[in-house]
Amino acid sequence: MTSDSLGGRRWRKGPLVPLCAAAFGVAAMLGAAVPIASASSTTLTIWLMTGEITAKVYGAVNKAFEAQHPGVTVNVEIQQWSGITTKLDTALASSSPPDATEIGNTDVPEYAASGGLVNLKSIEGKIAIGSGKWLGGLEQPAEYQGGLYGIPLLAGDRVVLYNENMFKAAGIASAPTSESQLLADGKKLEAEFSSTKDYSALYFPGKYWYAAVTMVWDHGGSIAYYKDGKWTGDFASPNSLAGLDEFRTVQQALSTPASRTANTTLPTQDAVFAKTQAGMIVGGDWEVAAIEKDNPKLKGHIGEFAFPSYKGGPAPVFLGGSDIAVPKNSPNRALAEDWVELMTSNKYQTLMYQDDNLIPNNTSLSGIGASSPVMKTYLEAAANSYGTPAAPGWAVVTGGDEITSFFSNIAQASSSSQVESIAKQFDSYLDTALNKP
Amino acid sequence: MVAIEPKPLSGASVRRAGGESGPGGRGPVGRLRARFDWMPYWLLAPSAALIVLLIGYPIVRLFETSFQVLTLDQLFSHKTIWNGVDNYRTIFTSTSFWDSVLRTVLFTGACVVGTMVVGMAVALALSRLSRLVRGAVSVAMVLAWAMPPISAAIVWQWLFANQYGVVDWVLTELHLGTFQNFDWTGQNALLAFVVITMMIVWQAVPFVALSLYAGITQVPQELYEAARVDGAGAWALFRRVTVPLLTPIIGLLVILSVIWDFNVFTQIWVLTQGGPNGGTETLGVWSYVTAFSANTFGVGAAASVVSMFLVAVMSFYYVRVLVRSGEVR
Repeated sequence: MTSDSLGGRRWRKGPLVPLCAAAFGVAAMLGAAVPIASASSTTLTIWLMTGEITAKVYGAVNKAFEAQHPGVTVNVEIQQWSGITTKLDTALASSSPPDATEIGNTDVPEYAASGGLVNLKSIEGKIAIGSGKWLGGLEQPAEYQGGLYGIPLLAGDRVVLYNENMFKAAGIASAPTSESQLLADGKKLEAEFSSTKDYSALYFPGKYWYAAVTMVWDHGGSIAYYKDGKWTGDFASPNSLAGLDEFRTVQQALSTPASRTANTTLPTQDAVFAKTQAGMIVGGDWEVAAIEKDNPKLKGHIGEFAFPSYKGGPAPVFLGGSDIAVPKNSPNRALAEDWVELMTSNKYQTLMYQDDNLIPNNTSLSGIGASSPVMKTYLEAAANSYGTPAAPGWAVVTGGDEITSFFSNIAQASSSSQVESIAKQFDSYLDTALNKP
Repeated sequence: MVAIEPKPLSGASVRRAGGESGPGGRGPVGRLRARFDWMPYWLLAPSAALIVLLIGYPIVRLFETSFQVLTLDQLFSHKTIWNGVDNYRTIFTSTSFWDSVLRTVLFTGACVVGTMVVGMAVALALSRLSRLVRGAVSVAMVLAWAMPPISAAIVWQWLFANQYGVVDWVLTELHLGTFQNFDWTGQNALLAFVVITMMIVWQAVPFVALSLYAGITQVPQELYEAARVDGAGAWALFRRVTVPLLTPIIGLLVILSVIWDFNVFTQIWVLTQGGPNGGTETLGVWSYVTAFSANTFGVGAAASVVSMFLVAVMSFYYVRVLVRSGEVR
């Protein structure tokens, strides 16, 4: 899994996308070429994203499915993240889209609201997830006007990665379990490594809103709420402000001044951590491998703990991941729904977790990671996750620099009252932007 | 029409000569038609067909889309909903749209002036350099020119990065002030524009400089000698001889630069994504976010029509001059 795969939509529609307009044509051709299903045999086409579910796992699903449906062949086509939304737009508009497709959870809301997907509410109850509940960060984006337009498929989340050697050197015996302890431990690290140039106890780029927004949720705040048919920005509510102020405090106390206007990419936070210029970062499980590749000496010395709540215990997380959806024009809709049912059931979710280290889609499986301390942290953190507002204009808010600039401004603020005025200003922007079609 | 000079005729004058001074040139209309020369049209036909197919058709569709409600909803359900001029009303009443237009115009002006001034300076320098150095400079320029904009933008992003950036390091080492961790693109829109403009100028100068240099080599040396005899200094030579003779080339380069710089998108998107706080959101960025982030393709199309119109207005004057000067010759 790459950092692209579970990031936000920013990465999906990166700078290369306009140059990938050619994908329109390619996708159209692919679409035209696929459905030559004769009367005797049917081919079910499934799109999955690259670097996630491996052939072994979806192969097992296909085998079970084909046994249940003689004469049907399943054809899984692996898609690249680059330009995927353009390709999906084209495919969903065609008369022969894939029968089921994985969609990144940050992209789901616009598709759910677009009328291009099948409402899967009817099969929701049939999926075998025991007593579990879907992970909120995967389910909420797929909900639209009482319907469910995608079934949670897999997740990845962010926890704190820390350099165990540095913790030891600073005399920190155990991972912090509350925000105040995090700050105290951070100050110990800052003192211990004060001679290291550009050192951050917790390197926290100001534009890293995926990580920052969890503090807003932790304090009971939210990004926006829907009431009386209208979305309203909620960052200036007392609870949200408390969260934003906590972000400012943590960022300014534990991260370099230069990081206040930075995102995670320039430099990549993994490189900062690998260069031992940071004691901690907030990162996904997929980032551990990137760090170890940059600096093999850190292998086995990277610890994880859930970002602590101000109340103690883990704070909510921003979930990355995907849902799986059935396009309205799918030629084999009923078969596609059956395949989705299998793939998202506990049986294959367990296999997916064990084989591919992907976080399963519901809370009933959080026990299965007990044997792996690394995944355990991620699994537990994922149980308490939120999604972004399923508002029509949300894509615009994240499409440009608005939301990243907002959090960067908070990181640069010099007082709580300044945080409040920045939040008020951003709320009034959200009030207009979120309600635009 | 008589050709006085024995110089070779250009293609255009050959055609005209063929049509008018042939034996039947002033004969009856019917005979003229019979002798109508189709060859130039046959030669133009392939490119004309390609232009209609690859540019004409998309433009027609663009106009069509700009009068429709087109979001994912309509795209997926194949509904066509005409909404008159609503899309245009939406953008004309949007303050962020007008802000982006103003930014784009100022940014384009800065880029074009910068490109022309630097380009002219380099061209003049080229004409005085030794052959070896001229070759080296030309190669260096062609390399900068040949770099894909997206790669160039990523390199510049690293040069001006506020952590580990080379520019900050050099300025600090030179004791020009405290530039350590100085953020060029993330805190001040004007500063971000300065960096983007430098990048655009850097990549645009090679073409302009080499074109102008080619023009300079065609200026007859006698004209300079004559002017010198009349007591002209370097500045007067440049203003009274070089510039007037290069006017057609300069005009062409200016208009091409205007069109190119007006449509700059990649570099801005890579460097700032329109930030900080929307401060570098130009018309291109605005249209992109509207069309492809918000998936309101109709409004995005209307914005593209408007920017096309703006470019057309700006280039109209020059194209008219170009066409007229063609007629006179």
